[in-house]
Amino acid sequence: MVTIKLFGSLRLKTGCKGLEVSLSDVRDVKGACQLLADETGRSVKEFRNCVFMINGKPGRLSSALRDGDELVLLAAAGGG
Amino acid sequence: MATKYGGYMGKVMMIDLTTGQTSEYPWSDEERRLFIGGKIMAAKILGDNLKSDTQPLSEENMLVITTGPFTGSGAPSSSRFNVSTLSPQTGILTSSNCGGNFGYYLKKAGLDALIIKGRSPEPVWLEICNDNFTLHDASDIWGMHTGRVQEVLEDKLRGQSGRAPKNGKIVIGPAGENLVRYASIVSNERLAGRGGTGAVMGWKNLKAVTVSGNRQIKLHNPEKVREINKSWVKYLKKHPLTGDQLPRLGTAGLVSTMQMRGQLSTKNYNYGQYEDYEKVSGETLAEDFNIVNKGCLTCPIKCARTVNVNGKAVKGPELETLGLLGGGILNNDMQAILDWNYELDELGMDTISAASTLAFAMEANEKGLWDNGLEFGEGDNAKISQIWNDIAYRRGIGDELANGSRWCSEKYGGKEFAIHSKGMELAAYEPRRTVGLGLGYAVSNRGGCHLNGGYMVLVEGLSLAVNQQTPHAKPDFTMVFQDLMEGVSACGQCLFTTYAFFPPPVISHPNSWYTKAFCKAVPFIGPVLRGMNMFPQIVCFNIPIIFNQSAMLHHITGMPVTFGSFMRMGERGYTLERHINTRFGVTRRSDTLPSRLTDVPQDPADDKTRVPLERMKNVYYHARGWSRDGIPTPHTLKKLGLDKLASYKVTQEEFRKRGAADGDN
Repeated sequence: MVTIKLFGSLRLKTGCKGLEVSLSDVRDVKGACQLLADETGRSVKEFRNCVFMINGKPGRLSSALRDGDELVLLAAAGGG
Repeated sequence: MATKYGGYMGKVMMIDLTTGQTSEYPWSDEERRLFIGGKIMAAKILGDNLKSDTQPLSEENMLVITTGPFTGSGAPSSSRFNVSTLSPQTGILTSSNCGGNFGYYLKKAGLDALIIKGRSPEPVWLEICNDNFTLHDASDIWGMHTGRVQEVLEDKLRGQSGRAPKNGKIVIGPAGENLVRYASIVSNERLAGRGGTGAVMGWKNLKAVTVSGNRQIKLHNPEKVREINKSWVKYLKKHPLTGDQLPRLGTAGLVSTMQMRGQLSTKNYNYGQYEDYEKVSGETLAEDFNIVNKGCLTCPIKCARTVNVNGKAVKGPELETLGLLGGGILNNDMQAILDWNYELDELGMDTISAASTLAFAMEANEKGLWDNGLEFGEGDNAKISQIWNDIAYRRGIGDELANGSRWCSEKYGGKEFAIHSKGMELAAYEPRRTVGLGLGYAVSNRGGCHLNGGYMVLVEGLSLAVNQQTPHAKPDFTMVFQDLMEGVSACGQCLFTTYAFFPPPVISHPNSWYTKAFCKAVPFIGPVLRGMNMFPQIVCFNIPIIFNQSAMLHHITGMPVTFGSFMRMGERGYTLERHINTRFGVTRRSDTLPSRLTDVPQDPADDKTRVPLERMKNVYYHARGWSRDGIPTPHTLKKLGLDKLASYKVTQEEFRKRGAADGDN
């Protein structure tokens, strides 16, 4: 299983906090973005323009996912 | 003293609470041009009046409340006012910026600034209506919480006519009355939170100030101001930070990003990640607790949250409060944070310093240094609420916590984990994973402040992914961001507008080649920034769309302003504050962080995860034109036009003497 978590304003816009999916459904970050787009009905571009963190480390669109991974999608943030 | 410049009312008034007398404070157009307003103007006034032996809680100390030329002009996010004084928390200058509407009404009363000195023999509150200053007995409102006292004052202003004039108010709560060193001044629900300005007001026996008036604010070129304003608001509303993230999530939206970047202070800065972060994140706040977004007067960003506390809609917590009262003390109860945030506002004290001092006490207890009964992950929310009250009324252990973490660590030990700089506690960003901000915290003029420190974390992980651990170019960027924010603050505008300085595509496309190239290039462009700083006349134009402040300042005031001269103005202010602080003993040795952050890697397997402070300080001082001891050199003072001010003139002998005192650094 792969855990996908969504943060930032995209989470509020889509109402989707994240997904638990099987590895056969998402082999890489790109696939995870497509899956999120399908689930939420929004453009895949919005998800591809997020910052990706895999198990707490920076990831890329082409990064492969492995069983047990946690993929986090973040938007840029500022303020304080 | 009338002025030829637009955006100013042309009058600064001073009231001496000892005698009750008012007088006009001389403030010339030359001073307006050099020191603009806000915190820079206040620094000049304090610098002219404070001596090196002036004590924060003394009749000689002044509360200087300033506006800027943008205040009341209609420019976006420009209702700010500034409070500066000699801080009882740090012993050096402090400045605290506040939203709400007090600044606007101060200008409507015809004032650019209000100076309060002396000490009233009895508790009083001050009513200002245009040129009329009236001191009222405050014995019936002394002791009231900050919300209640504002309601009562509104009733008092309503008087027999039954209709109060539109007005702004500043008040203190029990914390200010009882001289808690980090007591705040409150205006509506906003706070001039940091540095203990509330304690200075409390010591002066001044419970509140109300201000109203009907003066007109004249602008140099109102048509051009309207034109820029229109496009500026449009730009801010479209920008991914000021038009999307901040309105939707507020500053609380940073929690999850900070967690991912290892920047979320956890267990008194032992760690940079908190396992229960989601429960105290901005997303949870927005989804489950936020009622409605709010904003200050003329603000299109509307970053404030409104939440429910005991059936009442009140202001929600900011990122710093969520971070420090969440992961900072291992608390995952969001409702508890909302309750505490409200209680701290009502008592009138800084949530950052209160939370960080509490975290210090918990760790000191855990380590056996201080048997105080406070534990991380306490779970007893009522007990923490009681602690806030004990601090505000200086009862029991609260009497010691009221002095802040520096004081407590000097008494009980544990200096290495008392998370402050110059006596002011750090915000919630863990600097071992944002080393540029680590430098900023240390050199900040008011102590451990992220904003006065340059807010490098914005590019070190929050908005952009510049290498968090490299020290390269960080001192240069820190200086540029500090100067930029110093200038914006002096104008009377909210610093959040500066986040739109980065063009939207760079922020909204983090995986694009240009954003990645920019992030990779940052560590190598320090010399370019240094060159720009040495020769700001190169940037002899304004930068439309992304940085409207300099053009706006020109059209509001009529002063000739370019981006280069705007940055020089910020630099002048920053160095002026530093120069004054040296009078109170600030040198290189004061620009410190606790050794936990400089000597102990956050990740034991990665030695780079600590702040290489001394190395960055050398570059920073050089870039600023300060000596290796952190003292502005005579050459730098001359460059900035500060050498003409007699009261600041530093002789070569004095300069050497100050340096010699720090010779071993």
